[in-house]
Amino acid sequence: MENKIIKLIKKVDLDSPSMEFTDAVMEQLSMDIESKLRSDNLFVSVREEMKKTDLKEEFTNSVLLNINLSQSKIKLRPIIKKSSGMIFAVVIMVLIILSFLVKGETSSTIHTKTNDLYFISDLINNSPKNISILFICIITVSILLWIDFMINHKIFKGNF
Amino acid sequence: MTQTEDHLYIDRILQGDHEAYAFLVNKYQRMAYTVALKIMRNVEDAEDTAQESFIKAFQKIHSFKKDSKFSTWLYTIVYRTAVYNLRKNRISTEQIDEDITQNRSIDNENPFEKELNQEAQIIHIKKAIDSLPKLDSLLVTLFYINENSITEIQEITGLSVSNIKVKLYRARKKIKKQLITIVASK
Repeated sequence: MENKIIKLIKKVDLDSPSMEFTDAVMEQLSMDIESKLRSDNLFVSVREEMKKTDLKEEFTNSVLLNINLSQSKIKLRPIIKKSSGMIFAVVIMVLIILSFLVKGETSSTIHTKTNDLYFISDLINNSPKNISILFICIITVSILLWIDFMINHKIFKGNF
Repeated sequence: MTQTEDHLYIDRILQGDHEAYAFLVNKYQRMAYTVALKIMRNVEDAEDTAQESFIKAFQKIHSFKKDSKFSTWLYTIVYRTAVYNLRKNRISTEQIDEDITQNRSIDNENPFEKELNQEAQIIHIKKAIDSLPKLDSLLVTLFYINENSITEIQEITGLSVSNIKVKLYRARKKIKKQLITIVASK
């Protein structure tokens, strides 16, 4: 009979607390932790310090505004210097003038009449297509560099 | 596995994840409450004591040694808190053991069936356990229902091994006697 009693005892269920037991414990713990933190002088002083040094809400906006302002004040740096700009200007002018001269001569006897322009006319006569493309590229790059130089040295006063 | 799982949650708590404690509360609330109820003999006091014990355990969790079982450590806190709360109510420790009548009769409002089914038997066994002196009732619950070892019970209650064994033996005899009385009265 004793063995049967032991078997039955083992089948007895444990008592159960109320349904809110866990919630009640966790709530008490939260309150306990909060009150401990509040009574902790170090924590309070750190919290106060943090409040003092807290960033204002408009902090980000003011930083962004300053960034925008500073960006608008960024100075453009010229790719080429003043002297180089002048040289480019001269080269461009010379090339343009020469191109007009060469075009005028290509149809007639360029080799005999203008020896100074011989190398240019020769280039054009031997490979006219390649040379003309190369020539246009040089002129374009030169013009761009020259415009850059003009803008940055405020030779043009307009707003670009 | 269970112990390892408990330790994982304890590690999380120690790292500042307080919400992880809810897992341990959920897992051990029934046994903690049962231990408290065996001592307090009052549902509300038992629940208050169990809650108080869980909070104490949380506050002392950094002192918990991982080589032991969390449950045993927790039940020790519950037991001591329950005894302390009873003392606060001016009931001495000695009285805890003796204040319940040695052979309190089980109420006879629900008479035995001629052939008791197992469910009914369990109900009467439970009543017989509850009628035991508080400490005996707790020992039976820990040893037979919760399957704690004698060593663990020793850790929880602070009683000697021989004392626990004697009390368990007497408790079994009392339960048996109670049941015989019920059957005879039938």
